[in-house]
Amino acid sequence: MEISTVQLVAFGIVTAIMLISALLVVTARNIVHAVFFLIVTLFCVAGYFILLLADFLAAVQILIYVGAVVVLIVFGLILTRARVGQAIPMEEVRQRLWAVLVSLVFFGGASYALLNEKWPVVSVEKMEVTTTSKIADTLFNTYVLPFQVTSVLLLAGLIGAIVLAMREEK
Amino acid sequence: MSLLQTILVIIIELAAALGFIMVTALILIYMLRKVMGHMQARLGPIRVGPHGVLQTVADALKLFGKEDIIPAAADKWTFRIAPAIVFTASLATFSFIPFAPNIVAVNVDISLFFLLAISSLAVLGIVMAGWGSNNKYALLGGLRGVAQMISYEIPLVLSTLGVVMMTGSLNLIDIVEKQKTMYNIVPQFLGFAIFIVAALAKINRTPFDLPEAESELVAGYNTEYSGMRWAFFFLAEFVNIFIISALGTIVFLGGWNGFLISLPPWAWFMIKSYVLIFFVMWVWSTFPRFRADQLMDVGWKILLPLALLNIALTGLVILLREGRIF
Repeated sequence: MEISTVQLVAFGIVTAIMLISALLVVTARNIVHAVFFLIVTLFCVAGYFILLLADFLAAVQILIYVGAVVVLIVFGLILTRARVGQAIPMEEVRQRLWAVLVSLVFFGGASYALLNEKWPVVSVEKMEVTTTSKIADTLFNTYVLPFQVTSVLLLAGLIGAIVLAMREEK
Repeated sequence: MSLLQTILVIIIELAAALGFIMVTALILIYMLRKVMGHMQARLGPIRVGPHGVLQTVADALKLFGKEDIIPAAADKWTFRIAPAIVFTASLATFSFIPFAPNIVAVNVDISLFFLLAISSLAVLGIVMAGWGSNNKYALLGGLRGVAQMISYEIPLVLSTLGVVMMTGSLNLIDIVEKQKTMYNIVPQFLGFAIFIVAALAKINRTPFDLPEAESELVAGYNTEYSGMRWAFFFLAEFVNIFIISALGTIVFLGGWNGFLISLPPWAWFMIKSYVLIFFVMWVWSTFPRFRADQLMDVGWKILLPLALLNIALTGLVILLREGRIF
């Protein structure tokens, strides 16, 4: 696959922004700032999808993660505990060792899986122009059962949330 | 094309889009004042220039010269960046709109989906402005804005889905080309009705202007803003009115396809868009405001089920036509 200079430069910029913002997510002392940096990180993931010519996934990434999920996290934080301009006092971290261990194990496992998998590579010329219909086909034909099971799971979560919210009114 | 050329082209395109947006916003603000004025039995701006046409230009110059005040207790960076995010989201959304078969800044296969996705970024700027201002009115306005925009985004997206199913494409140009013989508003009237209501809510306009309800919240999420930063919010609002009207024109009103008299495609597109813009302003100056609970009821209990019904009906009709059932 021929990679043009533009793509390479774009990849570099996106990766740099993503790594810096990801680092800021964990180092920010103000939890709302951390969420804002998380948004930047997730937006950069959409940039990766675009570089990989997966336009549909990029739009989904923006619509769902940046536009909805993270905004709801901010929403929840603001409603519950985030005062403007104040760092939220965090409890002394006592599980540093475990955190490092878990991170290392996850990183090792993920790297091992990524490096050993034989990824199917398609040349740019043979690639299909649109990914939308292919994704729809996969979701609604090949993997229709897992797809439906996931939606039932989400429905259960939804009902659970409503039940929890209703309890106070009684 | 070399890297330098690519970047140069992008900069020129952005500058052109920015210029168009500025001019559009100025025209819309003048139009709103005149339309609203005459509907309320007054004249609207009349002093600056013939019939006050230069009033918004004068206002813009005034805003340029105003002091940019940042409250001492605000979260500085969040406060500063919020207007930029709101405006950038509008600018980026704008680039997907085709004005005529060959006048479109960015043409991708799924431009409708991209347009809707990028427009949802504005929510982020609003929540940042509301939280960063450290002001209870701003915070309430921001929270209301987010709740409303997320709730109404769902019926808005679903209402366009019927058209997408009929067209078989998410590309805005394809959608317009498919409407040569019949505009989508005829078979998709339910979709169009849902679209218009959800669109009014999505751009925070009357009767859904709770995020900036001036009688309760001073000005909502932009209470603490002044000068150019405030102007960015203001501009973004008017750009959003244009974008949503243009989207309605493309998806339901046949885009640049004309009838009876022959005009250049972009002229048809602009005429139809401005008819929708006039409709928005008409509603704006005549309707009272919803209550917050009514707002949520309309979104979740009326519009969403109707949008789902519309999708189911459209699917059924398509299957019947293709003879895949019965």
